[in-house]
Amino acid sequence: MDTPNAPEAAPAEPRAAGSWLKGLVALGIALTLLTALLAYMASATRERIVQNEQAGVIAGLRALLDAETYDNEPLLDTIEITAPAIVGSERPVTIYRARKAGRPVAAVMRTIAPDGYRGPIELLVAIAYDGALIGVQVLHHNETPGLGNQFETRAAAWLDDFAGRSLADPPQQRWTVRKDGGDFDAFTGATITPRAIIRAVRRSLELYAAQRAQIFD
Amino acid sequence: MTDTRSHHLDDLLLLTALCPLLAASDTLVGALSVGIAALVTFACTTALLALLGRWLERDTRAIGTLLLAACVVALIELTARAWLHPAYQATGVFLPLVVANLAFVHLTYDATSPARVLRLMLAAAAALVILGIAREIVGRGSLLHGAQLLLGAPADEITLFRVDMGFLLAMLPPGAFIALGLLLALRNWLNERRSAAE
Ligand SMILES: Cc1cc2nc3c(=O)[nH]c(=O)nc-3n(C[C@H](O)[C@H](O)[C@H](O)COP(=O)(O)O)c2cc1C
Repeated sequence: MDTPNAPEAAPAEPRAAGSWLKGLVALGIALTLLTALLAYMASATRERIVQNEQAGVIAGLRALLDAETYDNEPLLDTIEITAPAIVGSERPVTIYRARKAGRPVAAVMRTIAPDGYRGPIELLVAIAYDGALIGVQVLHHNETPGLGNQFETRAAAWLDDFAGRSLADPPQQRWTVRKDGGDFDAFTGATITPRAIIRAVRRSLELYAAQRAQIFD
Repeated sequence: MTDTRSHHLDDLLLLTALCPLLAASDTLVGALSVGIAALVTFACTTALLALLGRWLERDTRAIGTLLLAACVVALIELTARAWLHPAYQATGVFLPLVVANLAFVHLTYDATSPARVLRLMLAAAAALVILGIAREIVGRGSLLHGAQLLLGAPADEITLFRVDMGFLLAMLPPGAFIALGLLLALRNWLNERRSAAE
C-alpha cells in the first residue's frame, strides 16, 4: 500500500505506548525469573563442573604415575609457580606432587604449549625427582584432525618417546624435531604441533631444574 | 503468499540457522550432538515465546526474543557441562553461537506458526546429520567416531577404509560449506525434477 501512514499513526500512538509498557513489564518479570533460575543452576552445577574439568587431570595422573610409587594424593598436594622467564607466560603452572612416606617422588606439571597450530595445547608433564621425564599427556588441544593430532592417532605413540629423556638427553641443541637437526620425529606433513609440544616439555624440565627445591619445599 | 517465495525464505532461514553449527558437522557424532542441542534450545525458546508472545509487541519483541534465547542457551550449556561433559567438550563452543540465529528465525516467522518453525529446525538438524555422515566418510573413512562421547554409548567407531591423513578438506570448516553447497544443489535438482514431472 502506498497511502502515507501519517493519519493512522496519530491515533495508534497512545495504545502502542501502553502495550509497549506492558511488554516491558512482562519481559522484565520473565527475565528476572530466568536470571534467578540461571543463578540457581550455576550454583547447583558448580561442583560437578569442577569435578568434570578435573577428570582429565585425574586420568592423566593415573596414566603417568605408577600407583606403587607414591602414597599421597597428588591431586590435592599442589603448588603454583609463576616463572614467565622460563615458561614464556604469566600464567602460573600448577604442579601436582607425588610423594612416598613423605619423600618426593615426582612432580607433574600442568602446563601449556602456547604456540600450537591452532591455539594453545594443554599438557601434563611428569618429571621424576631426579629430573628424568616420566611421560607426557595431552589434556586438551585444537590441532587439525588428521594432521596436528597424530600424537593421539598414530600406532606408535609419539608421546612415549619423551619417557626417560632429561635436560641433558638429548643435549639442548637437539631438543627439537629431526627436520631442525633434533632427535624427535615430526608428524607426516605437520611440524608445528610437535615443535610446540617439544618446546613446552623442554621448558617444563628447565622450570623443574631451576625450582626443584621450591617445588618440594 | 506465493509458494516459491516462501520456499526461498525457508532456504534462507535454514542456511541462517545452520551456519554457526556447520563446523561441528565433521563427524556424525558431532553433528548429532549440536543438532540435538539446537533442537532442545529451540523447543525451549519456542515454548517461552508462546507463553510471552501475547505481551511482546513489535518494539520489545526483538530484544525479548534475543534475551530469552540467550538465557535458554546458558541454562542448556550449564546442564551439558555438568552432566554431559564429554559431549560438551567436543561441541560446546558452538552452542552460544546459535543464539542470534535462533532469535532471527523466531522473528522472521511469526510466533503464530510454531509448526512451520519446528519443521524448519528438524530439516536443519537432518541436514546437519547428512553433512556429518558425508564428511566423516569422506574425511576419515569411518562412522561414529567418538560415539562414546554421546551418552556413553558403548559403540565403537566403524572403520570403513583406512586412510592415513584422510581427505583433509572434508574435515576442515570450508569442507562443511562445500558439502552444504552440494547438498543444496542435490535438493534443488530433485525439486526441479519433481515439478517438471507434475
Ligand atoms: C589447513 C591446514 C591445517 C594444518 N594443520 C596443522 C597442524 O595442526 N599442525 C601442524 O603441525 N601443521 C599443520 N599444517 C601444516 C603446516 O602449515 C606446515 O606446513 C607444516 O607443519 C610444516 O612446517 P615447516 O615447513 O615449518 O616444517 C596445516 C596445514 C594446513 C594447510
